[in-house]
Amino acid sequence: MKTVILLLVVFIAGCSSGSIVVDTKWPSVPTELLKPCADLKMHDIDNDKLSALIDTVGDNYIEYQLCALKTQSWIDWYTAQKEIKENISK
Amino acid sequence: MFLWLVNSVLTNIPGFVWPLITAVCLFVVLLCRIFSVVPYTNTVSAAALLLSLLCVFLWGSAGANQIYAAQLEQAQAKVAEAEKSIALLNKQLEDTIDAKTKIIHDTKVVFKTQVKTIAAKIDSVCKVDPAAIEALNQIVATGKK
Repeated sequence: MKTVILLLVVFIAGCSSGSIVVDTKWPSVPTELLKPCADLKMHDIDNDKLSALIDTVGDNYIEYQLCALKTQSWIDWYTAQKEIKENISK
Repeated sequence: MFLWLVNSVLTNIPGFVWPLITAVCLFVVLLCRIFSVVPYTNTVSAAALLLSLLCVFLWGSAGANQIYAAQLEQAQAKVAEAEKSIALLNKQLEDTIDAKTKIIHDTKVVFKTQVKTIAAKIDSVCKVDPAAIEALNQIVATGKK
């Protein structure tokens, strides 16, 4: 009788796979962030005007600013995604 | 295969059936013990016992299934909420990128105007040595290698 009771207790555990797996989609990214940074401009070696050189350097600074913005946005996006993902796992 | 089989049985048969059959089987085992003189009581008792074990197992599995279903629903709700958050976050990020890009482009326009304004003045006093331009171009070319 004791064996029967023990077996009943063991068997009531049933079969359980143990963990819940929910399929999540890969998070989307703003399309702007998927565009690569533009190349820096080379200055025309025959153009010895200082204004033209400043213009080229300025353009490159602008390109840097745009690329830095993308990098910072990627960092922000990643940090936020990580937080969201961790909230799901809790 | 075994799990699939158990799952198929559990989804097709309502949960209250298992404790019911278990109770009946245990009652049969009890009866077999009381009326042990009747023929085949041992066989019937053993069969009832095995069936009760199977039903207890399926009863437990049905309970576990219910718990997992509730957990799954909770997890899916969290995922749905997260997907909404992601969409909102991307919208905010796109707005920020657009706003900052606009500021950068506006600054570019101002810069170009400033350079144009001072171009005649600085070009008249200074010519850039081609070596300096070459040095700058070399730095620019480094990133392309």
